[in-house]
Amino acid sequence: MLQTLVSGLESGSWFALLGLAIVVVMKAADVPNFAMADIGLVATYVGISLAGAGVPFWLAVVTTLVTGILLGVVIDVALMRRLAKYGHFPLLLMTIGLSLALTALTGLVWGHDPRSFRAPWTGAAIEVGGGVAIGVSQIVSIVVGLLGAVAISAFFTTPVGAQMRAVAENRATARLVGVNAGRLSAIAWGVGGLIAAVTVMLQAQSALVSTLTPASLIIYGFVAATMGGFTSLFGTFAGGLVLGIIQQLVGTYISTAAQFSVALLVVFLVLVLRPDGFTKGMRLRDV
Amino acid sequence: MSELTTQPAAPAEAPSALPAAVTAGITANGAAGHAARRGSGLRKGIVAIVALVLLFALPFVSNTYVVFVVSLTLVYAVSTLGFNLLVGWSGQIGLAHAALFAVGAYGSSVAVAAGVPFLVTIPLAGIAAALLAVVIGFPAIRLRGFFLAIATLALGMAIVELLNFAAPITGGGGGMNVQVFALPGINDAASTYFIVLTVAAIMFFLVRRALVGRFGRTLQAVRDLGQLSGSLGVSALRYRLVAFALSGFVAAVAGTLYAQLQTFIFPAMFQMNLLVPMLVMVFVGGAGSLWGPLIGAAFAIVLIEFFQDLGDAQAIAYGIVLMVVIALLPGGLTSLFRTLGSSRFAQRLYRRRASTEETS
Repeated sequence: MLQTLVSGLESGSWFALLGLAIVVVMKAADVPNFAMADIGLVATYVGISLAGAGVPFWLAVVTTLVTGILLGVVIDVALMRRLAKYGHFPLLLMTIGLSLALTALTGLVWGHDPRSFRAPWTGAAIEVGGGVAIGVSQIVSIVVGLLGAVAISAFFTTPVGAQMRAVAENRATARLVGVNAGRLSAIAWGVGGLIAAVTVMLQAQSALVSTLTPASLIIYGFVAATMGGFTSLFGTFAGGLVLGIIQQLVGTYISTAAQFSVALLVVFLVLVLRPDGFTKGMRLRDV
Repeated sequence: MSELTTQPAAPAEAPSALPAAVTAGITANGAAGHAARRGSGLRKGIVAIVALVLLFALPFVSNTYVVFVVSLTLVYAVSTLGFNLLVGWSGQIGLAHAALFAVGAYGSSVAVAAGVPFLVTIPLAGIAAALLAVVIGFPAIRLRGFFLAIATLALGMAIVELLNFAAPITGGGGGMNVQVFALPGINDAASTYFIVLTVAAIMFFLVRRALVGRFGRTLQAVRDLGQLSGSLGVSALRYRLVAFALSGFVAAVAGTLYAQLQTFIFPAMFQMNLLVPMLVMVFVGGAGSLWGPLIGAAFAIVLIEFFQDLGDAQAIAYGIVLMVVIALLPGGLTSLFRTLGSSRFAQRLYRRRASTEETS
């Protein structure tokens, strides 16, 4: 039971982080980014290759993060920004096309075999009594996930973060008072890419990742973001964790085949019952 | 353009301070517009009928591969017709289309296996999917834009997952064989092709009838005004749900044909790997256009067939072509013709022709 809970919290942290990345971009640039997990995967594979070539672990980690940021910014500047005036549909399609291309490109460059990002602590475990052992990498996932959520919340209290909230609230008015919406959307994409890189890297240091990872990860990220109503950081984070635990419980006690369906059912119920996210009205900390 | 000169343009009588030539030009332009509009319905009808007759002759002049590809194009065109009705005309990004397509394919195949004649299953599957589409569209009461997209995407995926679980009826993930209906006296490929072509022609005719006129305009009004259309005495909610139902019906009809064409169906066929090309077809054809679906379907099929042997590179090519098209033509491929038509060069051509005809 404890093992199930910890596993749930671990995968929940990945979902929560990716959900946060989606929310950040959604708020500042008004795009549901279907390519978010792919950005993270490309960045992580760059890191894995570097680590495999003998680069020290932490340097590889930093390179991964920088790659994630750069990918996000480049995508925003080169592709997304010019489409904004044509409405939702081209933007949505562009991220889908990007996701296709990035996944296939990853497969072409690195192959389709599952890989892992070996960290110094990979494989180590802590005995917690009763014969239950918790992997260090699981703890790393949970702790980093929590830190990431706190960091993003803190980011939104900085001047740049406040401008981002202003743009999210009302784009036209924010621009009138001198907020540079273009710069902000680049920053949001950069932050999104960074979080996505962290997410996939966390998964890679604990389990295996392959070109199949983004497809499922992005759905779970969207489920988490939906639970937060695409606005609430807290709702998204809590939603991701809850989703992770539900997933593990369903997988352990019902069947692993039903996991995906249950996640889809959760989205639908949330959207029909509480379209603004289930923390709406609690108003803890909305972006 | 010969009928242009026969138009009674009366510039001389016009009591105007403008130079006669200018007035003549203006009137000629106006007359050209009217003539084009009046003649275009008939002309388009004739073109459509001629194209239809030519298409009917196809199996007699080409091999089965070409017949199959054209059939597939037509099936996708019908499906895109329904998708376009929802996304383009009513402005709702509902992403359960692939699932409704699957409902048509499975509904028809299961019913045929149970002994129902195939031709009867086409409307039956359509009606079943229309009802299901209304249920899926129900979140549309409260959701807009991307939220609706995600809710319908989740529901659509759940439907396809259900096909996996309903293994006793659908064969589960392993898929099921489809009993192919054949017209007597001709081979299977040609028979399926004729059915596909006939159904496609009927669907295009019906949807065109529905959209050109009051219903189509009301849909667009609801799309553009939202709840404000209530002040015109139009229930936005009802029109949104009707759009869902119609698009579901069309999707399922296309699905029944698709099953006949593929002869073997399995749930994985109807996941994102089908939804993405469907989105591409709507986009390339131009959201909200009537003949766009044909162009979109043809584009996607050519792309798929062209990049078929590339392996991994296929998906890259597919993604990149999609990205380039969106970046260059945010209004879809059909907007290219419109852009060219309204470009300064083309405008000057039109104007010169109109005025020369007037002066000669």
